[in-house]
Amino acid sequence: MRLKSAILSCAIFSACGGQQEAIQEQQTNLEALDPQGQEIAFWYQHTREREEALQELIADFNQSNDHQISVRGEYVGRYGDIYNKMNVGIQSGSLAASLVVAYQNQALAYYQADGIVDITPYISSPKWGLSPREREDYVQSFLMQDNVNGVQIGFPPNRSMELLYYNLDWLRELGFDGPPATWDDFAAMCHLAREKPFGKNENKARSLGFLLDIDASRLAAMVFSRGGDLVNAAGTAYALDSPEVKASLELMRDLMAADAIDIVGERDAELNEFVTGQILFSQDSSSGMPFYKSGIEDTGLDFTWGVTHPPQAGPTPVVDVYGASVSLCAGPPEKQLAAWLFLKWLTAPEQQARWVRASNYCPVRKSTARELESYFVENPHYGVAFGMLDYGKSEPTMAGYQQVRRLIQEAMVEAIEGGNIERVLGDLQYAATRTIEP
Amino acid sequence: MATKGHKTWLIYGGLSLGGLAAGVPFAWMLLASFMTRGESLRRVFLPERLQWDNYFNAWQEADFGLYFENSLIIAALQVSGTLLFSLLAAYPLARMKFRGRDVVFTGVLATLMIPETVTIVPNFLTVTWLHRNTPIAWLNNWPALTIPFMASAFSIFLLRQFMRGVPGELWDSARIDGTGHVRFLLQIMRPLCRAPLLTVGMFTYIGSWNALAWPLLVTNTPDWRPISVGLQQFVSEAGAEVHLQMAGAVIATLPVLLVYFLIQREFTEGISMSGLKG
Repeated sequence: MRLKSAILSCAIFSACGGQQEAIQEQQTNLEALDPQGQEIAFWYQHTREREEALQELIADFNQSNDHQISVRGEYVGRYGDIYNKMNVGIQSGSLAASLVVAYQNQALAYYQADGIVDITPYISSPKWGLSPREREDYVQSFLMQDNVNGVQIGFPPNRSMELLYYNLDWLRELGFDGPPATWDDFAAMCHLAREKPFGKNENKARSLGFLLDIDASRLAAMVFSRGGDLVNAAGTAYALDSPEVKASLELMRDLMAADAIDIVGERDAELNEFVTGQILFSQDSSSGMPFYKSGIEDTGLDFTWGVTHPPQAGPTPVVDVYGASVSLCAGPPEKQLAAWLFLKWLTAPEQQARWVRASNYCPVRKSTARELESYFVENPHYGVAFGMLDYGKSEPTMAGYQQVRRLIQEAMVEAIEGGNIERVLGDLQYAATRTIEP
Repeated sequence: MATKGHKTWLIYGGLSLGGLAAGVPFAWMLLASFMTRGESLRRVFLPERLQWDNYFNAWQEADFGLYFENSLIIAALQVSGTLLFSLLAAYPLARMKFRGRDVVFTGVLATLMIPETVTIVPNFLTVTWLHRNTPIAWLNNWPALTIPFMASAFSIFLLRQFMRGVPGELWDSARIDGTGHVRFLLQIMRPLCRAPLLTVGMFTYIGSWNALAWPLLVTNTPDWRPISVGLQQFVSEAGAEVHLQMAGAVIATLPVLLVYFLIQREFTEGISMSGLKG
């Protein structure tokens, strides 16, 4: 495992050919830079408790760093708003941020427009970078998500994963002692849930196995769990007509036809119906766990629930791990360096532990576990999720993935509503491929 | 064949259905804003006890006080500017004869066909240029939030349509008394245009109050952000606290409703007299 990590580290942090020379040249300049007194802005999407926690972390950094770097944390809207703001900022040459939260496909678009810079030289810098031990401490698959052709377009401060939430009390009422191990088990449980409503459900007319959110990440999680992927092995082309995609959609279509599941009709419907005992399973982000917990308490149903990975096809589970990273915006070299130093500080285990406690996100440093022992005890479900970090797999990082996500969602609806799945996936594959053609 | 009574029933029935469709979301918003989180999750129809705390919590958590004040200032500036510039632009297009008048008016109308999203980037580039090259701070400040919206093609069109309907004899009489265009516009036309001016003001006010994408683009701090941003910020990244969201939504909607009810009669009159009715 250590050897594998080391190899992956090398793959991530080393560039090849001319790129390496360019990085070395950059590094030579980097070592001579002085980030003293730099003022930088960090654009993010966090609100309320998460923003408060992040602002506290920023204040601590501003007080404690040796270079008198001053970071200003700024909420600038949701991911889409940030994307718009970045694009107009890049176009007008007036980018006011030094750090920006971005999904991988967004970061790639910024990089192609020279709006952000490669983080590799900063990571490898002997003076400012990470030691080999520190590098190995990062979950390598998380770093890989932001690495496109040797270019580190982002750096992860946290991650979330797609989990299966289950109502254990209801499963027991149905004669099971745990969550489904396979998709066949899952289907059987959904059928039974349709027949036998949960004892504590106040609305017995609504009793389903699952609510399917028409979202590309939901489908990706199902496909990954079956051993498939949304792209080819090299990650260079979409593979949306694979047997795993087909099997996932067929299962959902059959369960829909049998009225054992339904489609999410409104925001947070899966959470609402799960906490009120109307659905047996919910597939959702790990970061939503506190809301499930408080929801079950607030409704007064107080049933036993749990989280696990989606049902699996192979010997080991695979979970869809996703989340926005932080990119370094192009600007004066001193500002870029100051931004990197903050980012490095933010991902150190001590800060990671504080951030996890406030946000319930998964940390990106393995050693954070030591700082979180009491948190695991207080939040056993979070501990389960943490244990699955090694099984993470990410969605495509291609620049047009946002557009493809919409295409996937349209195809999901068409397939589940009874369209010919082979034709639907053929059309999807064609349309997705067109988005990456020059 | 339907009798007059049947027709009346059909009309009233249709209108009631329309009213219900428009009113139910408001009623639901209001009811949900008084519920506990458990009640909103369980989708009960009526709250067992009115949770006034929701409003207090929403106000405190979202810092609505600051956003409210910002929205009021932005709306006041934008409405004043729009009324002034629309009146000054609509008058010559409606009442004065000059070469190229119709071409100018067609140009103004043509801008109505351009989707707002298309103009965002050029507007931002303009504002950024002004921020760099003029002594006024445009970004993160009220000018970027108000000035680009003070010239409204729709408002010019609406006022121009109304002004064309004003009898020409009024102008003839005014000229006999020695009145020029500026005096005629300010002393005779402006009072006559009360209803369409209030309509323009109302539309501008609603647009300014609800603006979200542009304020997010030109501001980085809460100092000048309007209430729509506060409301969006209040919607948490994960999880649903519908009861608090609805309390926030009621707070954000109330001023618009209040102003609408105050000028409802003139608003309807302004629309019907400008030839915009269906």
